[in-house]
Amino acid sequence: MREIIKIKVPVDRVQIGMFVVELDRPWLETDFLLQGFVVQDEQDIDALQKQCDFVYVEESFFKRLELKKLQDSPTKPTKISDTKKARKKASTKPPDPENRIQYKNIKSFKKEFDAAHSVYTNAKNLARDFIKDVRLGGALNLEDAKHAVDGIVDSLLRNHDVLMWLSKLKNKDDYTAEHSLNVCILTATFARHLGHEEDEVRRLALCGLLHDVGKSKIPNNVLNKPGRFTPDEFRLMKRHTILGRELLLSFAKLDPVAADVAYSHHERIDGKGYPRALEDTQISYYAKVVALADTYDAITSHRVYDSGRASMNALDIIYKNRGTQFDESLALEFIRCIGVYPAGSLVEMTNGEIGVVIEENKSSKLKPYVMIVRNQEKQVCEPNTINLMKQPSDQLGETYAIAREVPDGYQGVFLKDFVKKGMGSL
Amino acid sequence: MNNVEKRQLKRLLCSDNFSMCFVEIKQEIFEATPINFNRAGMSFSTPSPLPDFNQAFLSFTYGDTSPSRFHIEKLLITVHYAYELDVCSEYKCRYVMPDTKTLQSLIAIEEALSNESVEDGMERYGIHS
Repeated sequence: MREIIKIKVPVDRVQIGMFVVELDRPWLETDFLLQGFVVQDEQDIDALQKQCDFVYVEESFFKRLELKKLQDSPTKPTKISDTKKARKKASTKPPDPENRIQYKNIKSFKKEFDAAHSVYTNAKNLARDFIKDVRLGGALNLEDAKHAVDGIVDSLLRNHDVLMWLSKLKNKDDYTAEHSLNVCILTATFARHLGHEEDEVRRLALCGLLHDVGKSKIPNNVLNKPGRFTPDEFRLMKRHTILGRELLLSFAKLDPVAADVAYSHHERIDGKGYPRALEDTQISYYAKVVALADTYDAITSHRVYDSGRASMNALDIIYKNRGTQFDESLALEFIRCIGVYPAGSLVEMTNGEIGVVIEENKSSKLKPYVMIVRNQEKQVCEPNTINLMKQPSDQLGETYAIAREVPDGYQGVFLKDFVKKGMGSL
Repeated sequence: MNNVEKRQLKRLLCSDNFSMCFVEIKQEIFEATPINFNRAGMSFSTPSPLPDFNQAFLSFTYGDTSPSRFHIEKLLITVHYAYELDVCSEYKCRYVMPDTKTLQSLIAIEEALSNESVEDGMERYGIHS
């Protein structure tokens, strides 16, 4: 893995375009919210000059000799800009409970389904294209990516269950593109759950979409290898974080938070992550949020060599790794957000019927709306949607509830078949 | 216990009463996070993939005070399932013929874990729905 060379620079010699990797004091003692950033304007320089005496910048942006000159030259004050234009603030935590926005589904599942499906299909094509384009040496079309994110966020602000449902449609042959899109959806859903402002939901969603863009630079035979990686291949795979950051930093107009997330989403709060083995306080809030969505989708997705695990399996792993791999309170919030039976889960009922979870009940995630598609004898039946909040009973008068989650394809029930038939018409 | 009986055992979520979980593979020791447990096997996660192995030795402690404290030392396990990802790796392992005393401890741990966990949806994670 490439080692980053840091060069000490007095703050009055800092220039736009430099990547600041370290300050002369702990990040937490300053108001910088990202622990490492590209100096973008006079305001950034102003902020550095007010809070530090010197900083460390990454060598690779400049020729070493030129930087040497900067280091050795006598300190000369530069004019501090008095521009007061607002910096785009970065969040360091979810909104406080009293400031949380309470979003409500404003469209029913059926009414939103067709629009969400169209947004999902377009965004998936875009994710597939940008991975292909970057792989072939082309540029990433940022405007298209932002447009896709807007479509996703608009849909899940109308009804978040439909996109969660569609994110359950896993296709083993299209993993990287599908995973990027699903992490975008899950991150936006989580940001909505946390009560962030709409702008912040979009910002996090874009970070989710682009978090794995560095994988486009990993050879296909390694990326899609049907089997376990050799230690060398695993080391190569880990480089996607560095490659993603380098790629995204080349876009001057892109929110630098996205490059930070691409770089840091595999860091762990116990300091055992990669590529930098950062400590908890050095990892940005955005990277911590996207790490949860990334892990959940990675565990539940099908690969060329294996089937995805059940949602509960992924939640068990997240729960048990809270406080070591993941931020503890964010991990618990993520589990609350997803719930044990998220939309799109295939479930077996206590009387043996099989159904698909359509929509959650806000007041009890254990009692969602379930569309029954197989009867007790596991035979095809007329789809019938049941609200488990109404505490229905089965034919024997017994309490009727979800017994367990079953894998996609169980007893011939495939989620993709419902999309083909058109959920809106059911 | 046959395979069908093993499959019927509940996959209990390991509580914070599990500690000191280590896997020994070819004399190398790796720290692991216990995920699920029953008398027939355990699943655990590691930050990075473990070296290739068919058999390994598992050690862990359950509980913190005697007599409800159990220490399982170098229990032979086989990998039933390995799921290695860039986010973490999970291994589902089965115990290989534990001796009577160890088996009794495993059953006691399973019973204690069943009693301490409310296996009811969100309560599985101590999050009231």
